[in-house]
Amino acid sequence: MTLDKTEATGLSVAIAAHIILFALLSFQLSHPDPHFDNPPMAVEIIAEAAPVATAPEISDAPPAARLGDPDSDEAEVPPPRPIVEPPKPPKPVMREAVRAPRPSPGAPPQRRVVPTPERTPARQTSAQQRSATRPVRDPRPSGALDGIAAGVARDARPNARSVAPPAAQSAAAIRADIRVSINAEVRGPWNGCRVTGVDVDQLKTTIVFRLTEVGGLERIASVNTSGVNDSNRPQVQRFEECARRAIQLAAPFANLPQENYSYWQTYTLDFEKR
Amino acid sequence: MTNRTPIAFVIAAVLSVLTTPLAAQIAPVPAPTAAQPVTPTPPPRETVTGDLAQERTSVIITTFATPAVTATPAGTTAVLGRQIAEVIAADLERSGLYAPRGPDGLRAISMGEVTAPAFAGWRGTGAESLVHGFVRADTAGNLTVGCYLYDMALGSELTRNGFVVQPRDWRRAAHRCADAIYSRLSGEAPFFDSRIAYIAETGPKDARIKRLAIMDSDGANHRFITNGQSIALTPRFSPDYSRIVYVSYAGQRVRVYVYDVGSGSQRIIYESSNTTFAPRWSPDGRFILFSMAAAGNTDIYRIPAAGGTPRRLTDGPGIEVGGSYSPDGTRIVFESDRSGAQQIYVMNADGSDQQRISFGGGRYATPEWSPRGDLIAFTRISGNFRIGVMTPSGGSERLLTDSWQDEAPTWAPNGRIIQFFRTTQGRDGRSQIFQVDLTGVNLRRLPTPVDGSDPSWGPVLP
Amino acid sequence: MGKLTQAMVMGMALVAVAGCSRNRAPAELPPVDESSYNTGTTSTGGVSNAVVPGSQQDFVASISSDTIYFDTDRYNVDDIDRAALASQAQWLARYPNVRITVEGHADERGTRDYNLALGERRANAARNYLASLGVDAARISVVSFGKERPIALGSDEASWAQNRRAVTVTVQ
Repeated sequence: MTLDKTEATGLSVAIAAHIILFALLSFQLSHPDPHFDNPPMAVEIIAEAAPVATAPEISDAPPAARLGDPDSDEAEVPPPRPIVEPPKPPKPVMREAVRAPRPSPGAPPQRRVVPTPERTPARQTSAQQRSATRPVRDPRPSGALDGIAAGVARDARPNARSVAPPAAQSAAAIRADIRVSINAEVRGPWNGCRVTGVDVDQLKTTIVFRLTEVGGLERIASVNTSGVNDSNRPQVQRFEECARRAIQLAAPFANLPQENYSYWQTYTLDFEKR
Repeated sequence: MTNRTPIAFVIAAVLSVLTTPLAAQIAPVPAPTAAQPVTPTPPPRETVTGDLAQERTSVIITTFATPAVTATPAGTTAVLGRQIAEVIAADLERSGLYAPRGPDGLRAISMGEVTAPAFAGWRGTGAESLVHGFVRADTAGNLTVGCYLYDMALGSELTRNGFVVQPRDWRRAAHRCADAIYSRLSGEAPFFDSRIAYIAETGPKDARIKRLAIMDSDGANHRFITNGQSIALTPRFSPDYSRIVYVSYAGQRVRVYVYDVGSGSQRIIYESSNTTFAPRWSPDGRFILFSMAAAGNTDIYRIPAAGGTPRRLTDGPGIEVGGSYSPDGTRIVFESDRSGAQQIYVMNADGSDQQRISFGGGRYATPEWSPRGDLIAFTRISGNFRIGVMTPSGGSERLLTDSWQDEAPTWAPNGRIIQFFRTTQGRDGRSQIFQVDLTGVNLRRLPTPVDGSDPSWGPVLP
Repeated sequence: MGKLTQAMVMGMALVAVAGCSRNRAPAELPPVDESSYNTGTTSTGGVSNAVVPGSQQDFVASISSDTIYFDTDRYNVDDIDRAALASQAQWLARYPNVRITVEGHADERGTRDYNLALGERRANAARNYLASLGVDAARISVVSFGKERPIALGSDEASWAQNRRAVTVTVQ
């Protein structure tokens, strides 16, 4: 097998990029940034929160992540152990991260290959950035707007988007971006509205709602619940009420990209408790 | 996760290098930038997953206000306002779903605040819900208790209820208020305003004194019905609370009695030389199921509650005992050892179509049909006794407790909480009443003046 | 423990219990026949040393055993039981006017209602065997105590074995 010039160039660039990347990752592991010194548990949860496998290179841009969060916060990060819920990720981080310019030659090959071990530290890093910016958890949520972050972790699946072709990736990035802006806000009040009972975990309430251009709640268009059985039927009304309430309390949503209003004007959320 | 090593990255890097020729061809394609507006194609639909194992809902309960402090036979309206708030808080606490705060340590509210809460001030507590209310005595000597539940974050009213009671029934007004709150927040039917019949136990294990007793669902208004000269067992309130059916050893025999709560009189349900026991009411209160042993063989019979001729529902050489009606009265669940060991069966109310529904290991006993109809509670015996539930067709079995001996489940009126009695082993073994909710959590002991067994939860008071 | 001692202890315990009950009697005593029913002897209570022929004391002293024992969840009468019941039948043949009650008991490892039924079965097994030996069935009543009146208090195999029993007592 022979390489033509283009291939050779590409290969060299790719190898070089990988070496740099490897060095960076190794360095990071051996010299963990104290800010990122979070427990593994948090890492794992937040890892899933990163809606796009935005490739390791982004992990090297931590400062953008802070986005105005006072540095003093970092000192307040409690001891890592007792994390139950993931901390609130400052949404703008995601936004910046997603949009960060990509080192173009290196990135695509990585995505194509999907080297899982590489992605893990990548997510870990961005997760650490985010979690490092906030106290891990209030002992008791003070009001419905606390602990909002919690949900992002669970619903965002690391999925095929990460290996999608570049054009689709951008769409995915936007989607992920919007998702974080909305889901993260909604999950707090959703979690703060307790519904218990047998088979409540089988309920799923789907709410379609419309937003104004500035992210305000225009109206809730429809509320439907599936998974109803004899045991959980009494909870359906409260379940739907909590879902509706979560959107009401979360709105208005900030940081939604104006240019994509047509995309997020009508939004559908599936609410569940597991 | 904790032992990540650079080796993983070495491997990954090598892997990616190996595949680079293919990827490199794509490399020159310029990566799109965020500046290019791209509208994602599928309409946005995402999932928000909450956590089922949440902390308990925090509820603020202030002392109920009173428009005018008035003396009543049960104390002043000011005192009652505090006591009612305390009973509500205790009820919500006992349900296991809520973390009530107050009325202790909270400021008193004005009458005006009852309907227009100062949300801003209370939000600092971090509570999700707020309960306000008032107590007013009218000229006729009645109490009006108003009860309001608010959503703290939304600043909206969730429910309001008013109850007019005699001063001596103030606790019932409090229970009703707690029921309204519980129902509104949980979706479940109410249950606090209900009563429990049980057997109070004292004395040593081999000479235990067992007395019929009744109390409110929170243990208040406790009253002994029998004096303990004869062993009393397995009481059941009639659906309207007017009567209690139970077993007594009075007269040196084991027989089922119907005790009239109003008059204090009682009668034997069926005069016979045979032993009669394990009585249960039909949901409409018109019939009583009981078991009767004739020549050593026990079968289940049904008799009109007003008296009459019993009709035999089971007919076999085994022990058929107990029996509990489905809430619509069409089916009966009972236990039988016809297979060689106790198992649970269901049959039509006339005794036809008997089907075994329990097939797990060990023995199954004391089936009780939920007032909601969706589940049957039972005692499962395999060494230890444990309380469990299954569907009426025998599916979805779940064990809710795990102790040495948990026996004889009885359902809360809303079918979401189960009481039973727990016995400890050994010479000093004793029995106490516990309850657990259907999710298997919130196990707690129901305080009784003395030890207790055979609890039987009545319906919500009329 | 000798049968006599056993009966005496039981009798004294019951006297104590009865006294205790009386102290606790509430006002709302149901208007039923609450005549105290004792498990076991009610007559002598261990007070008198004189054995009256035909009495419970005489019965207990004259027979090989007033109690037969059963296996877990069983109610069949085995050879040892038959010997005990045969000695009871012989005594009953001497005093044809004495009536007896057979008390059936179960150990604590069964649920309450089921144990009542099981105790009933055991008492009936004894009654049927006595009847087969010629004792008029009309002289024999049965009562089940289920797990309500254990004689051994431990929660162990030995105690349970003692509690799975049928006890014959004379009705005075």
